[in-house]
This record gives sequence, C-alpha cells and structure tokens, in this order.
Amino acid sequence: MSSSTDLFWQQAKTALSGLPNGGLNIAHEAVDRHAVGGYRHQVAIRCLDASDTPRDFTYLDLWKLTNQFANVLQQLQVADGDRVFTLLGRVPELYITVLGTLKKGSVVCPLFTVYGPEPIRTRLISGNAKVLVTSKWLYENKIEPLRQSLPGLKYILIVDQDQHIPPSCDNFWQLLNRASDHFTISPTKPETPALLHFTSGTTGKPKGVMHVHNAVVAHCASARYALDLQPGDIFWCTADPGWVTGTSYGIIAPLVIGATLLVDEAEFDPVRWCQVLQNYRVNVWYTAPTAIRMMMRLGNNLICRYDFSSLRFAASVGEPLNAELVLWGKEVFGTPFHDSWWQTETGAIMIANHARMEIKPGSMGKPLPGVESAVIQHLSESEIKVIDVPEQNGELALRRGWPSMFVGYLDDEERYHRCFINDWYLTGDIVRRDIDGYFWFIGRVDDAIKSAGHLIGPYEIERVLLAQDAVADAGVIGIPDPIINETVKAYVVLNAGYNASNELKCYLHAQTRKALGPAVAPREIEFCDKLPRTYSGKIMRKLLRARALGLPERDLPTLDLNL
Amino acid sequence: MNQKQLKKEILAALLEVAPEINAKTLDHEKNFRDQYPLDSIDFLHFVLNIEKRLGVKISEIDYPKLSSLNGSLKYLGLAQK
Repeated sequence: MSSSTDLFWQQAKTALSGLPNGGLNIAHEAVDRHAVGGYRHQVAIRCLDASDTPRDFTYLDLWKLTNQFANVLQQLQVADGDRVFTLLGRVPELYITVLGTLKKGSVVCPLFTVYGPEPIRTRLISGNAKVLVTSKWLYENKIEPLRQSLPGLKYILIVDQDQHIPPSCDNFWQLLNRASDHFTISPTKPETPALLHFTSGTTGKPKGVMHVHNAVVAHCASARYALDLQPGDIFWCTADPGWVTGTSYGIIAPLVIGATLLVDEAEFDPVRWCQVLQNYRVNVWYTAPTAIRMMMRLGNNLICRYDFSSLRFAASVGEPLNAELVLWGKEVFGTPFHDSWWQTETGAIMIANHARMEIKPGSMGKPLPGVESAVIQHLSESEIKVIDVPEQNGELALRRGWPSMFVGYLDDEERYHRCFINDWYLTGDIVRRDIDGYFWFIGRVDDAIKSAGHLIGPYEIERVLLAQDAVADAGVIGIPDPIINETVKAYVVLNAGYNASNELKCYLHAQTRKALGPAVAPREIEFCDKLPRTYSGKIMRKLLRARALGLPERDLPTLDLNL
Repeated sequence: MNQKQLKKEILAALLEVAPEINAKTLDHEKNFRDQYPLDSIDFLHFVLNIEKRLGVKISEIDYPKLSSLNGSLKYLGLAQK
C-alpha cells in the first residue's frame, strides 16, 4: 500500500469504535455500539414478508436477539472459527444468525436458497459446516436427502414457529428463547476470520472465499463513498445475502452506518418493487442491472405513477450497466443509476461512479479512495507490466492491502497465491481505462459467466451433465442476453446409442435444474457432434462461444492478450 | 380455443422453461413458485412463451395474475373473449 491509501484506511477506521485491546468485531460495529448509543430505539431492520406486513427490529432488539443466538452457539459448544451456515430466505432469523455468529467469533456462510441440492452439498462439505440454520421446507426438500453425506454437520436449527421439528433437528426459537440476552463479544482481532462466501471459477469446485473482521472498515467507508449512505437513511439492497453483495451491503454496511435496512422476503416483482420504493420511502437503493431491465419493461407511464421523491441515490452492481439504463434511472426515479464494480474476493466496492463525481454512463467509474488500481499486461506466467497509457485493454489489478481483501480460498492456498503477482491482486476482468481515469468493462479473462448478477462457473454445470449416462461431453458458455446479460447455454455431445431428441433435451434440462437450481442451471441446451478442445484436453470455451455467436475466431478481446 | 386446449398451451409454456415440473401433480390453485423453485427469469420466460404460443400481448402489470395454473386459465380465458 502506498502511504496515501494507508492513511485513508487508518482514517476510515476511526469511524468505528473497536473492541478493547485492539480487537475488532463486525457485529459490535453493526449492532452493539448503536444499541448502547443514540440509535438504540431506531429501526435497524424492517422486514417485509410476502404479504407486505413490516416487522421492525430496533438496534436494541437486534442486540438482544443476536446475544441470544451467540449464547445458543456457546451452549452447543460451537468453537471460535467453526462454520455456521444459513440456508434461509430473507427472514429475520437470517440476520440474527449472521450477526450472532460473528459475536461468537465463529465464521458465517449464508447460502442462496435457490441452489439445488448439488451446489448446497458441495458448499456444506467444502466449508466444513458444523451448524446449519434453515427452514423446515428447505430442510425437507434440500438437506434431508443429503444428510448422510454430511457427517461434519452437527446441528441443524429449524426456524419455523412450529412444534413439529424434523427428527435430529433443533428448534431455533426454543433454543433462542431459553438463552440469556446478555453476551460478551468474543475478543476477535481484525485478522480473525468472519465471513465465508463461495464463488465460481472456471475449473474445479467453487472457491470458498474467506474474509476477516477487518473487512468492516471497507464495508463502512465504501458505503459512504459509493452509495452515499448516511445514518438514518432507509436503505434497500435487493441482493440476497447468499451472494456477497447481500452480506456486505445487505447486512453489514448499513447497520454499521446506523441506517435502517429494508429487507423484502418476496421474490422479484417489478410492480411490487415500485410499491416498496414508494411506500417504505427508500432513500438509497442498491440493485442489479437485470432487475432494472425487468422494471424498464413495465413502461414509463406505469412507473411514473409512483412517488419516488424519497429516493436520493441509486446504484447497481453485478454486471455492466449499459448507458441507457443509467439515464433511464434519472428519467423515472429522479436519480441516475450509479454503476459499481467489485467481486467476492474484494469484499467491498472498489470502483464506482460515486456520489461526488460525474457519472460516465456505461463505465464502471473510478477507484474509491484507498483503492489503487492498474491495467496490466501479462509478460509471462510470473511477470506483469503496468500499462501506463490510457485506452488500452488489459487485466484489472488492485494493489493488495485494502481491509476487505480476501485472506484465502478454503483449502486451496496455491490457487490463492496464483491470484497475486508481486503486490497486485489480479481480478480476472479485462478493462480499459479512459483518458479521464474511468474504467470500462470489456470481458473476463476466464470463462466465468455473468448472468442475472451472479458469477456462474461452467465447470459445476458441466460436471452435472457429464454424470448423465447419455452425455459424452459437455461445454457450458454464456450467450449475450438483453435482460440478464448472459444466459447459460450448454453444448452436449451424446454417447453412442442416444438420439438427439427433444425428449432427451428436456430430460437433461430437467436433471440440471433439479441438481443445480434455476439460477445456475443452463437455460438452453444444444446437441453437437464435438466440442473444441486443446491438445491437453482442456475445453476451449471462448472458441465455442465465438462459434456459437458467429464471431470471427481471432478477434475475441480476451483471446488476443496472450493470457 | 377451449379451456382444455388453453390449459395444454399454458402447461407447454411452463414445461418449456422448467421441464422438471410434473404436470399431473401440479396444484391448479397454488402459485407455481410455491411448488417448484422457479426464479423471476423463469417466470418472465414463461409469460413470453405464452405470448408467443397464443399470439397475445400481456401487460407487465398483469404478470402476477399468471402465477398459478387457474390464474393463467382465468386471465387468458378472459383475454381471448
């Protein structure tokens, strides 16, 4: 880190209160210090259920409930560093579990409920889950069939207010209600592991990305700069906490700042979202391009019937936001959408069109204070060169040392080290920096697919297809889509004796959806005779994609970088 | 188009998106998304499939009316009249 960025983070830390003896705990910053201060009776979380009935939790309520949950973990002899997973919709119990686990000094990993059993099993096993908090429906449909394959999973807590808990599970509320609402936060240090999120790579199993309590320094500072978030704001982050955005900004940052976090349990519905923005008087809104595109389909006449006068700032993340959408925000919501860029690995927003600068529609924006970025060119496997001149394509790199930088991939130190050359973290995204210092997204170095705001690894899907008797080979790529950025498409080579029939295509489609869930499974399957592979047998997905799109095979932006 | 044909088209539009759905055991009253894990993109594609199959234009504001089989039958039955 240079001395100026270092100084920035030192100053950013002064916005937090810390624990005695140099300790730092995310939940202390998010809950406890407010519960004993001026915000104690302010609403911390306002939860809307499907029927649109709000349930409010003040900072004081949240303090008690998270203390109770930390005590439950203590009684269950869950140790510091043990992993507590959630598989829950956006219900109050999710927020209580995440923050209570952090108080206890254990590591929390929220999983996305739309995952099918296969991604859930992989993540619970590689994350070595000791406790899982889930609902009865999710347990019966997604966990129970896997239970035998999860010997490390000691406790399953069911959140339903129901006396009939499945056998060998525990009742979340019964345990909570018996526990004391006083708890002394574990003396975690800035470098103590806190959060685990899984992200997809091109090859191998999903990567377990580990973050430490120090990440809260960046959560807080970036939310102020990139989202203009202020104490007392009503803040709505539409991302599910199963994705990193939904944890960093859908739980932690707004609470640390002393805002009111609005949580909507219901699934996306454009009309409902207009009502939520209006009726709950949202001040700051953080959402995703896919959702914005789907709202745009409603038409301006309909949207303009709603009153968005409370909305001060709107931002977007997940995939590149086209210029048209940025400007459309201004037209109908009264504020343009501010695009932001970051990754699971970076833990917090790194580059953004932030509140105090002029937006360049279609660009990612500029690095936030404290973030040092560069466009680099690879000279060899271990050598890079910073490209000093503007308007050149290259890989985006960030100088290591910001507080929310990931500290490792679970059980894969070698892969972690491969992400760095010298002092630079290599993001895997190809960008261009213009003459004014704004960054523009060009593509991925690898074959990861950006679909509906999620980063999807083709390998996880190919593996499920290859497990089918009919399938000899499979290659998965992203095809451009006007609404979800890229749609997942699978190319399948059949084994001898299988006919390329529509019935077989439906069957394979159904099998992938059952195993992976709709967010990850391919939305299109096409049979082909052969897939392009290198001499060493590696599938050439970029070539497959070029052929699928009828692009000239030599002109791919990410192929001519000699990566 | 009679009710039977309409139902067939609706189910075909749904199965095109989510072939794992068992049309025989599908609860006609209940929301599709309470029975099967469909995401909002699936639902959008389902509505677009219906538009294509039936040659109708469905306003975004009416999409929630198509969230169950009976809801779809009722809405599309009226739309055809």
